[in-house]
Amino acid sequence: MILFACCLATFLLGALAALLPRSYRAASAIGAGASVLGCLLGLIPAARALVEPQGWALTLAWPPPFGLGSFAIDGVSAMFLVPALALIGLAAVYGRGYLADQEGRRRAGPPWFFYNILAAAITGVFTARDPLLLLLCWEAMALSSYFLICLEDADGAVRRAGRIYLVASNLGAAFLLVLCLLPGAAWPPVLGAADAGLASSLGGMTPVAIPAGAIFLLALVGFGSKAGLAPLGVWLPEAHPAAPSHVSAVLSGVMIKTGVYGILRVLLALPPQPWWGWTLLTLGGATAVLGVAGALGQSELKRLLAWSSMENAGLMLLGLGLGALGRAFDEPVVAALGFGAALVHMVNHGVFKSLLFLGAGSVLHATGERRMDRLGGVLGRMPVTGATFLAAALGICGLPPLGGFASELVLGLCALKGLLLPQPGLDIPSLAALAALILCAGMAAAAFSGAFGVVFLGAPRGETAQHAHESPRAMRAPMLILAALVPLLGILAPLVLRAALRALAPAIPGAEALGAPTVEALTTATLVFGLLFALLGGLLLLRRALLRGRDVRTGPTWDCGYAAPTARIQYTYSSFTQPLAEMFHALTGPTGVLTRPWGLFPARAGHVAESEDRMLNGFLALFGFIDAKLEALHRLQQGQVHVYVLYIAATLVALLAWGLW
Amino acid sequence: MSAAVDMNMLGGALLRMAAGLTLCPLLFGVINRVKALFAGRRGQPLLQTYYDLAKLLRKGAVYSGATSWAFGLGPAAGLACCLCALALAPLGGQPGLFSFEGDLFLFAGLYSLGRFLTATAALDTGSSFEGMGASREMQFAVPAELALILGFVALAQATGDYSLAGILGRLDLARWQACGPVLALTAAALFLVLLAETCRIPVDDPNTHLELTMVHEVMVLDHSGPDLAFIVYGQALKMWTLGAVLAGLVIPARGGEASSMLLGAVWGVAGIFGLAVVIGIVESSMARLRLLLVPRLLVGATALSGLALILLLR
Repeated sequence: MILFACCLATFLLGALAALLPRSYRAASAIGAGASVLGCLLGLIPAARALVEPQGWALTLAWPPPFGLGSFAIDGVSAMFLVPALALIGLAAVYGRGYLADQEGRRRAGPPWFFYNILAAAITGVFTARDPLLLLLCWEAMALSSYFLICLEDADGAVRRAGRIYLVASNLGAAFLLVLCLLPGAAWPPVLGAADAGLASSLGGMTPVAIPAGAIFLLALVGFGSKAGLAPLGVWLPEAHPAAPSHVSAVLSGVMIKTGVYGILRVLLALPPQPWWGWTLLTLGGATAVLGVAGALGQSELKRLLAWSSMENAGLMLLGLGLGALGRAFDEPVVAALGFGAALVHMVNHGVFKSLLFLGAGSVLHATGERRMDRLGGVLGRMPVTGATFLAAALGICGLPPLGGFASELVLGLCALKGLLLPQPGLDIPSLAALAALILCAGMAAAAFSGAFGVVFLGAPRGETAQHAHESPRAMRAPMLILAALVPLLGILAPLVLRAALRALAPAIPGAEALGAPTVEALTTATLVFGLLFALLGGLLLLRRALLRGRDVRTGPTWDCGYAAPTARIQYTYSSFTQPLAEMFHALTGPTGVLTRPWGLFPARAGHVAESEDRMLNGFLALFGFIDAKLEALHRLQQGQVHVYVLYIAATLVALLAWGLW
Repeated sequence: MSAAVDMNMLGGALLRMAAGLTLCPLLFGVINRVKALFAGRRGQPLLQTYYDLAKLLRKGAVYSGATSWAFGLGPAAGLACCLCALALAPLGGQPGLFSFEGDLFLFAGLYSLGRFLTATAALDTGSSFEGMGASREMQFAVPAELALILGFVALAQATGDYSLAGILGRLDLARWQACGPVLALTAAALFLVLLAETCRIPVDDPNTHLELTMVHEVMVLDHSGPDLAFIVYGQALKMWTLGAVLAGLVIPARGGEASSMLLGAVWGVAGIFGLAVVIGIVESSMARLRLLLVPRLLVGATALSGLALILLLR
């Protein structure tokens, strides 16, 4: 398809063109423009592949060697690609406004170069039909996102976050490298197209039969580390807050989905074993609960959002796990609904989480303050940011009538059906998935009601919040478009689910028919959504009508008769979530350090509440241990030439002796 | 199914909804009358809540200077959610206005939405008391929601249906004989959830006068006039709706024909008022729990639901 080739070419040429101009504005206009144009070009073939289930492949007159030109879009690719391109395009528009105040401080070319490379790489990952090409796009994605995360490289914390990301990304890619260089026989079914390129490139290698379980484990670690799977997703809470907000939106809304995509591909291509499903459910449930418990313990808004991304990745993995179990036990209803729920949630989460990051970026842009507990009352000064943030927050908690509820309903129904089926081995996993889902929904509601309330509502807690101002139009417009999508995805949920089921139909025969009752349920649910909107509007109008002409006064907040309240006595996010965080503190670590007043004339006392990232600390301890053990090798590495000459001589003698033997 | 039967069904569902809409404030009257009886007082009139609502709807309002539109959104959204939940809830084994597979998730989700927006409205006042109440409400909701949904799932497992109406429609005497312990455990769990969701003793005391110990009441301290009327009416509706589900579970009087449709509804309404009497007795016979014990009570409710489910697993 020529449009798809144009899309990739636009990204790549735009990346180079953004480096050329000396003027900051020209470079950012070219860079952002190329991203938007490329996304629009790519959306057309991707959307067409959603409608035409068989999809299409890119055919080149002179195909490059090693299968490097083999792109194709089928239903599954399109399900990922459509939201990805839409979000990348919107984030680019936002990014131009977001980075506008950097003029004079740095050049505009490099960030936009890497942004376009990232866009091309993500598009490539979702459409590559050859393992080597997939690996290439994967690495391009990892590297370009690393440079984007490290944009504010003057800040030591950002450099540290970037380093953690790079290490985690490379470790994950190591597993993918093994996976992708497996003898070709294992691969074509996974990516859906036979290609002799790789097999011939490996020449004389004899194909080895690889157990499917090994492929699954390699994919789980390799792709799972990108998806934020606990405990491999340690980079997520570090890298997302460090990146500029439009990049955070793409990382969280799009890039972590590449991991879900990879695992889904493997599950659809190979015949899953029951233990695959159990592994995915265990890890997914752990990721979801750890993620949302971590979100409760944060003090910075973007960090909270990053932890919540981990939670949602966990929910998607729960869907994949149920789907895998459904396939393993030959219960196609559970398979279709499980994978379908993961896909629907992927679409929804992309929209909400991008919007939340854009909103958080807007607040950061306006106040320069990352800590929630120093903000407050921003809604009056930033009405668009506040309203769109609320919509996304409601969506991400899985509340009706928004899209997030639809994905929770499908996942919940899938688990319910798995529970009620007379299939032993499916009931307990379904029950566990259901419990994890409901637990996470409740905790996410606590986290996001607190975050929205503390940042946007109440009275400003400090100077910075008082002087907040609404963001420029380039930043508001993408937020408004995404916010409109939030209720729209709730109302159009039956269509999204049907598209997901159609995409799954080649792998799960009859998926559409099996999911039809659920599509119907979602359709009836939209009637209730309509009723809810109508009632809400009616009640607001009723209130206005009742209060018209009556005595409506403005007074102080009821303060229990206390004469001198200040904004500082308001509940903060850490106090709001403290009771719940306390319930889960075994997961999130100690939450407070108390400094008691001491001595005859106590001068100071304090309490610092901070939750530790136990996964990251665990990895740091592990790496420290390995480092210490490898230190022992330093005895060999003396740095003195004559010792090295001795090594060479000894090796020569040994080889001679071996040769003469 | 012919159109005439369809219209009958629709008419019946609307009538049942209308009964809920008109009778729900009476529940508070019944509870207060029972409490008065226990305390040896004469008590307020049975219709006091109606008078209160009429008075509040006629009043003006005072808004805190710190608040924004999010403050006014809370009560209206809360009531809208309670109304939608009423439209989903079956009464006496008869379906509500809407019924579809998985509607139990929507039923619980609607209350979550109302709670979320009530909590943000509370945070909008900038009062530390209201923040405290919101924090507690969101904390208690986590185990309560889990107990509610797991309870519904246990019922679904016991009856083999995916919708609230289907589940409660199939719970007849035979089902109670077949899996009585499971249903009894679930009923106990749902009763605890009802007490928590409707802010009754032992979770929350609607009559307390100390802000520090309140949960729901302190969240709505700053609402006045029509906003407060929405909140009070929403609470009454919530008690009616959850009571209807619980009564439908406990009273297994079912039948398919038109005459028994009426009978089922009458049994359902009687069950709800019986429940109000029970709540009154509970409120008269015990004090509210210490705040730190409330989560344990609700986790206990979750455990009851979980136990019911485990009994059903073979």
